[in-house]
Amino acid sequence: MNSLNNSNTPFHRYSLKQRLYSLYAIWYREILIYLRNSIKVFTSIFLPILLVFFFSAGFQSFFAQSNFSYNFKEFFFSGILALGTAVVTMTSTLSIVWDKEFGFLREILVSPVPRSNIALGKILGAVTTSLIQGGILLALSSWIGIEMNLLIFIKTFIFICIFNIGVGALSVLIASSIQKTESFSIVLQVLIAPMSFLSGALFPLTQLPQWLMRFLYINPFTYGVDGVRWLMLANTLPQKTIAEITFFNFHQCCAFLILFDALMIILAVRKLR
Amino acid sequence: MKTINNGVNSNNQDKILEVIQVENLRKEFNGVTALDGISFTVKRGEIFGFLGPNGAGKTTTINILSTLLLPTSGIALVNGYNVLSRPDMVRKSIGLVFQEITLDTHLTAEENLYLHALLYGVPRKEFIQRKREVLKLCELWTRRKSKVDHFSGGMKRRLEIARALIHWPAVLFLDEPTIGLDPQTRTKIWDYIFTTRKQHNTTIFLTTQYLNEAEKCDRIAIIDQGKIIALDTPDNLKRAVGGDVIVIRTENNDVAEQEILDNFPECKIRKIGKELRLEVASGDEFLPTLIKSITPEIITVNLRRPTLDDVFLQMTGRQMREAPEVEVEPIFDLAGLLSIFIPSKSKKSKNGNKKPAT
Repeated sequence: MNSLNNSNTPFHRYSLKQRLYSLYAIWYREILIYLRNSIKVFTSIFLPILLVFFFSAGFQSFFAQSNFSYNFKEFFFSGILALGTAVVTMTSTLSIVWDKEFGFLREILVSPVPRSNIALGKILGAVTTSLIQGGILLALSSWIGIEMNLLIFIKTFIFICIFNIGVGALSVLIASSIQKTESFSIVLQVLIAPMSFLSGALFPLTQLPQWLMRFLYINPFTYGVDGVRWLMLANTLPQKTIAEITFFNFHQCCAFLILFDALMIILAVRKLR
Repeated sequence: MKTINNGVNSNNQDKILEVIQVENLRKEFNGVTALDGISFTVKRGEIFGFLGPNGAGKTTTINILSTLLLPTSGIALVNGYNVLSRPDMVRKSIGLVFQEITLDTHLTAEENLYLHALLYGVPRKEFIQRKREVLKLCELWTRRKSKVDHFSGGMKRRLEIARALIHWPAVLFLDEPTIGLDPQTRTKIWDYIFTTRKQHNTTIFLTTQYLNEAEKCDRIAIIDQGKIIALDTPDNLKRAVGGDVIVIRTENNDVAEQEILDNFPECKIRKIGKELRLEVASGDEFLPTLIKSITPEIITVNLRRPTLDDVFLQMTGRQMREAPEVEVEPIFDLAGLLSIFIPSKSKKSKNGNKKPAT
C-alpha cells in the first residue's frame, strides 16, 4: 500500500499481455470503423481501378505517338498503387480528430492503456486499411499487363507497408494537433495535392524545373512511388527503363523511408502521450 | 490481472477502507483557482455525492481523481494508489461516466463494451459473462446489437454506466449522471446505482446539482467555489439548519420583516427575492402566532422541513437554484470581427468559459 508521502514521479507498469491487448483494441476499432463505412471500402478499392482505366485509356494514344520504351499503364498503375494506399492511410487517421471531437479519446485516456499505444494502434489501423486496398490492387496488376509472381507480390506488399507506416505516423502527428474534423480534411487536401503531383506517380519527373526538384528529396511520396516501381515492375521492364521512370534508386528509397518511419513514429507517440 | 479475476479483489487493496483519500487538494488553471484545498475521504461501498452549482469544481475533482488532470498541490489516493505516482493502477481501479457521451456511435452497444474490455484487459471468457450481467442490469440486453447512433440520450447514459462496470471497478465515478434526462430515466439510473452498490460493494462517487438526488447519497459534500463547505449525511446536514423553514410572502415585506424582528427576536430571518425566509424551532406551533402578528396582508405561506438547498443557503448566503451566469455567445460577433482591424480593442478574454485541456 502506498503511503501518503509517496514520491510524485509517475510510475507505470504494464504487462506484455496488457500492452498487446490494448494495442489490439485500438487497432481493432479502426478496422471496425473502416468496415462499417461501406462507402469508404467501396471507393478506396474502386477509385484507383477507375482512375487507371480512364487515365490510361486517354494517355495511351498520346504515349503511342512518342517513343517511350514503356507502356503508360504500367507506369501509371504502379504509381497509383503507391499513391492510393498513402491517401487511404492519411484519411483513415481522421478518426483521431473524431475521437477528440466526440469524446471517445477520453475513454481511452482514462483506461489503463500505455499512452504510446494510442499512436501506435492508430498508425497500425490506418496502415491496415490501406494494405487491404494495396493487396487487392496488387493482385489485379497482372490483369493490367504487369508480370507478377508471389515473390514480387510479397516484396511489394512489405514495401508498401513500410512506406505507409511513415505516412500514417505523419498524419497521426497532424491529426493530433487539429481539433475539428473539417479543418483536418482541408489540411489533408493541401498536403496531399502537392505531395502527389511531386511523387512521380502521375507523370515522369524528368522535366521538372530545378527549384521544384529540391522538394523531391523531402517528399516521402516520391520515395514510396519509386520503391514500388522498382519492386513491382522488376519482371516487366528492364532495369534501365525503370531507372528512367524513377528518380531515386531502390536503396535510397529504403533508407529514406526507414529513417522517415522511425522519426515520424517517435514524434507521433510523443505527441499523443 | 489479479484484481480482475473472479470478479473479487483478491489482494490487499480490498482491505483499504478509505477507497478515496484526498488531502488539501488544490488546482489552478492559469492563476484561476478551481480547487482551493479540499480534503475528504470516501469509504468502501459508500455512495458519495458532490453537490454544488456549475463551476464549483466538481468535474475538476473527478478529473484529478481519474488522472486526467494533475493537481497543483495536495494528495489524492484512489484505492490506495496515489494519482501522481501510480496513475496506471488508479486507472485500473476506476470506472468513469463523463458528463458528455464518450461512446463510439459508429459501433454497436456490444462492440463498445468489447472495446472497453480489451482496453482494460478483461479476458474474453469473463467478458462474455460480464457483458450479459451489465447489459441486463441496465436493461439494454435486447438492444445489444443496435448501433449506438440510434440510441436515445437515456439509453446512451445507461450503456455508459454498463460499460464503466465491465472491469469490476472499485470506484465508479459518475459526473452528473442524470443531467438532461427525463424523470423516469433518472429514477431508473438511480436504481442501477443502488443495485451496483449492492452486488459488488462498488463505491460510487457522483456529482450532481440536483438536490433531490443528493439526498439519496450516503454522504454528501457541498462544494462551492472550489471549497468544501459542508460534509455529512444529508440528514445531519439538514438537522444542522435547525428546526423548520417558513417562507412567507406579503404585500409589504419590509414592514413585515420589521414586525417579525420586533416580535420574535430569536428567529433567523432572511430576505430572498420577493419572499421572507424564517428558520424556527417548531414551525407548527409558531405559524399561527406569526400570522397574527403581521399587519401587511399575507399572499402565501409555506412551512417545510429544511432541504439541502437551505443547507447551501445557510453556508453560502446564496441559493443553489439561482440561475447560473451563462455567457451568451452572439450569433454574429461584429465587435470581434472589427477587433481584427483595431488591434487595441482586440483579444476579448475567452479563457473564462474554456474547459481545461486534458
